[in-house]
Amino acid sequence: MNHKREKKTIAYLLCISIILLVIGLYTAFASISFASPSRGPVKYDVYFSEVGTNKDVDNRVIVNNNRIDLGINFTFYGQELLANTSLNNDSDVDTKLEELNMTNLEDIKVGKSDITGIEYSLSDYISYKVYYEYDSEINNIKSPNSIAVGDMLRKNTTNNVIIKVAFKEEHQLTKDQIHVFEKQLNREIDVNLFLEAIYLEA
Amino acid sequence: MKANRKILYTILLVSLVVLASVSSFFLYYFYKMRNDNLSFNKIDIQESSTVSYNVLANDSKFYDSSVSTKSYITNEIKNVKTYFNYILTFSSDVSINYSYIIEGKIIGSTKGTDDRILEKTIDKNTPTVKKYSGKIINLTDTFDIDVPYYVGLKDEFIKQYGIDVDAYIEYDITISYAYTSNTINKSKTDKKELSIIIPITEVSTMPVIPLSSINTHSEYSDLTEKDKNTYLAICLELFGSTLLFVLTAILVVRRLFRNTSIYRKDLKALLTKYKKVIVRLKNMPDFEYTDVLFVDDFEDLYDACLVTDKPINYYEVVKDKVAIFVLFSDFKAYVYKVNIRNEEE
Repeated sequence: MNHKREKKTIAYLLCISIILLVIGLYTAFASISFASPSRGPVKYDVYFSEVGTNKDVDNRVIVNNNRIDLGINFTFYGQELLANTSLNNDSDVDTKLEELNMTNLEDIKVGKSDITGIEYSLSDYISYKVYYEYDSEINNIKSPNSIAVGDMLRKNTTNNVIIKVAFKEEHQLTKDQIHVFEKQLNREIDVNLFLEAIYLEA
Repeated sequence: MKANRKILYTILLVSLVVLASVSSFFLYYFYKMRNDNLSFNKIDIQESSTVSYNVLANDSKFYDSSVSTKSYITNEIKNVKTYFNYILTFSSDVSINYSYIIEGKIIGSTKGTDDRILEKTIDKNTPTVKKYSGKIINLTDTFDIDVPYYVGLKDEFIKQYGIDVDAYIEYDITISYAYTSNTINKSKTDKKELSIIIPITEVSTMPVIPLSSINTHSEYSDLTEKDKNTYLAICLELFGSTLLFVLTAILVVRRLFRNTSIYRKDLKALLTKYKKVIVRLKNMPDFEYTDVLFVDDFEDLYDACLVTDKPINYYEVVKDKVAIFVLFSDFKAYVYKVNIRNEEE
């Protein structure tokens, strides 16, 4: 084969094969999900971190992903449990609080007065509040606002939260309520509370 | 061939080998995809579940399932508060309907055997179907397992039938869901079952939990005839390019090595044919006191060799490029030169 013709042949073959490769790969990448690969399922990881509490009150804390269970043993008026935790969003999406479930103190009965016949529930003795510890501009939350449905928790952010459970002061209770409390076994109230936060993509 | 041109051809050859490899890799990849009947669109699904419990004692104190104690005196258990969390995530938006059933059973068999003689569903919730559109489902719930009640059932059974039994409590959480994805253009149903088993003995050995699991899988759209044809076109194009790259590489190899091989071929032919009259020299002959006369044809040199009865000296001046055949006679050196052909020749 003539040298010049051979050089031309090489050049043509090279061009045609590159064009074929480019067209083939372009067609494949443009039409197959391999080309615009799904980035895998959305990573979702929203959870409460470990809880730290003050040691003044006998308590037990269990953390399960999006739920905290608190067991508190109140023996004195005015006792207060402060639990620090944080809501963490390690997902790759921004999330919003869709559901917030907390123990309804009204539903838990403490005892019935043998004087008045009134049945008292935990809400008569205990206050239970969950609020933000710090402001977060990115999540648009303010301290010490209560945590509420609709609150944002953007990806890779954390909202610090305080759970405050307090036994009312003696002067905040009626004589009848004090009477019922004094009658409790060991003169103590065991409180089991929970907090459950369900976040979904914003 | 000039040295820089040779380098260029070598680079071109390496590039061609790389391109042919890339092309054949993708050919294999897409051909395999076609065989695997994989489709053009897919969604990835991940489900993660956690089950854990707190044992609530008769003194109203609860104990965490994650602490080391896994055994409790059954009579001291008031109930077991069980928590489950099921998270389903998709790579693209879906419309989904989901519900879950929690079913608590007592199951018993004759002591020491596997003969099941007791199975009764005690607790079952009424499922409510929830709807959601998006990428994430986060399902969380808790339920109480009334351990003393189940213990009572076992005792009652033994009392009634006079058969000692090994019994346990089984709670199954069945999450069912049906979703429609526009990405893969189809609907799918699936379900997930989570279980917790508590043996009814004097000392309840609780399972080691939280029980967590993560499972990821993909769903694909169905291949249409058009999709199959597109696959075929992709495979043919890639096959064509692979073939052409190989052909081009062969041409380049030929071009790269041809001059050398012709030189070698010519040289070998001379050395073989005129073996008897050729003397191979180790060093370059000395031309200082001789007239150097170049001859065009080796046959002339051979004729001179026969006439003068002197040997033809052979020496390769530049390896694989230049060799000379010299006949010394009367202060004259008759030289026939063999060299690699210049490609422009």
